[in-house]
Amino acid sequence: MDRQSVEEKLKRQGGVIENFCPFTKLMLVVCTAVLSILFGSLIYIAIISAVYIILSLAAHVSRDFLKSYFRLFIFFGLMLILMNSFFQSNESEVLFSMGKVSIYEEGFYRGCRMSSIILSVAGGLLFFTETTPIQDLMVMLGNIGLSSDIVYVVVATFQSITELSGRMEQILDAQRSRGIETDGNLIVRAKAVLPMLITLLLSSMVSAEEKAIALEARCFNCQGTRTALRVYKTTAADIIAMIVLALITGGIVVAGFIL
Amino acid sequence: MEVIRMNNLSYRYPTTEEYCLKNVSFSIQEGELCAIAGSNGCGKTTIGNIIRGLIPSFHGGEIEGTLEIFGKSSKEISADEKAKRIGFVFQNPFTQNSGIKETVFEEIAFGLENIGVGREEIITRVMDIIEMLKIESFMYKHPLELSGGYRQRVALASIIVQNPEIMVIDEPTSQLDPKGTEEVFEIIKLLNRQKKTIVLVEHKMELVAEYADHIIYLNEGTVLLDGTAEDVLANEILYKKNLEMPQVARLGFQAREKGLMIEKVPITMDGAVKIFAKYGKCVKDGGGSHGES
Repeated sequence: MDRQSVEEKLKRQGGVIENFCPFTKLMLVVCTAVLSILFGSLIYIAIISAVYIILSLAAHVSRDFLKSYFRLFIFFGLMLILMNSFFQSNESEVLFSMGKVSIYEEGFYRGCRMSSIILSVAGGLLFFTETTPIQDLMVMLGNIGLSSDIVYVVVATFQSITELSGRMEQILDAQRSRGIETDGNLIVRAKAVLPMLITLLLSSMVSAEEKAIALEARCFNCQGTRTALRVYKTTAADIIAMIVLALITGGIVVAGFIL
Repeated sequence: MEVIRMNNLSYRYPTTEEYCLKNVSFSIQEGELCAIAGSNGCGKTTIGNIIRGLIPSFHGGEIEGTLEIFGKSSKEISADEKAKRIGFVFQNPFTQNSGIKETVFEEIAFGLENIGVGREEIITRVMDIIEMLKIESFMYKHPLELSGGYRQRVALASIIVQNPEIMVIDEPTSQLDPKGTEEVFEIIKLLNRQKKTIVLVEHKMELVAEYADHIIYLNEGTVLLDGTAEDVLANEILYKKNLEMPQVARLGFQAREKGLMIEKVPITMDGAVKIFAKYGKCVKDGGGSHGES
């Protein structure tokens, strides 16, 4: 163990996209959100999906990202389009009809717009979490002047997902060993959820108290200036990326209104 | 020099009517490893929490009597000062992580960041502690990926790095396997050698017998015995009242009851081997089949 290797480990670890400042990645989310509100359509969905797929491949997070994005696409994107198309008629033109089921033009376009917004924002945030180490987020929130308490709550919330999933698995195993059926049809699974949730909630409450004591022992509540082991700065690449994003978004908006 | 003095302290939790500590008095000297021992529910952890300052500020309840730390009343010591000067490690290794750090190195550095230590010094101090506790092999692992024993070592490292004058360690191995227990006690032994004042709350009497310089033995919220390990754990009162004591000490008393007049009651395994070896040798020398078997 030497100091140089420690310093290396404290730097951002990852490729070009992962090394972008979290603000740059958040700007991508904001830009896609603005464009989806203005130009949400079926073509927009195709383009934004292609953009996220390319970005996730470039950032080497495609496996996890695409799995979640696909679920998002099916359960929210596609469902919104279908629900609106079938039930939002307002006496508008029928685009497609099969027996008693019809797809209405107004509902279809409205569904596409809503789906565009959901996929842009949720997909962007998904990409952000996949490519942003929690430490980056923590430093970023600290840099913008948020209090250490708020930073802790935000970051701990992200981290607790892993902890809670682990604990949930333990509870499930314990319940299975006591004869509670947790696998099977929907009703069987639904019956198993309540006792599991109550146990998870109670154990989380106990953990929260102990965590508060652990934080107290680490001087978390002490007054005074704090320091940080990781120090990140906005790089030239970040500034260039932000300018490019702003120009692309601005260009599309202007072109959209002119054309 | 005396660093902790408790005078006639009584305490009850907010949800109970009965006092769990009754007129407890003792003192702890600087640099000693003092074990607060006794069976479950006797008030050991409560004493640890009072010294650390979590009672009454965190848990509430009613407290009577006085506690002096560093020569002044604990009421005069601010919460910040207590956090900086009195380290605290407790039982559960799974909840003692900050929950926001991604490597063990950063987890250990967390306390130093909170008290505003400069970045360069943080790195130096964390590297020193990692080397001292021999935890280099998992210093870049995620704290949540570690086993209970490793997590407890990280928890200890995270407190030791803050360099507190007193360390309150509450049953650090109650959830660990024998290997994890051994590793954690190696660290405690190391701290003891460095003359750090340690208040060890522990019910495993074998460990207490082996490591403690001074034992305060509690029973039903009162101090039953106070003295060196030998004075306390080889005291007949524990045997007569059937209280927690090392197995070898119990064996010693049982041997005396059976007529084997051993010169003293052992409290550690090594001590027992030395004492009983003499008698084994006598029997063997006498040519009896018992000795040979």
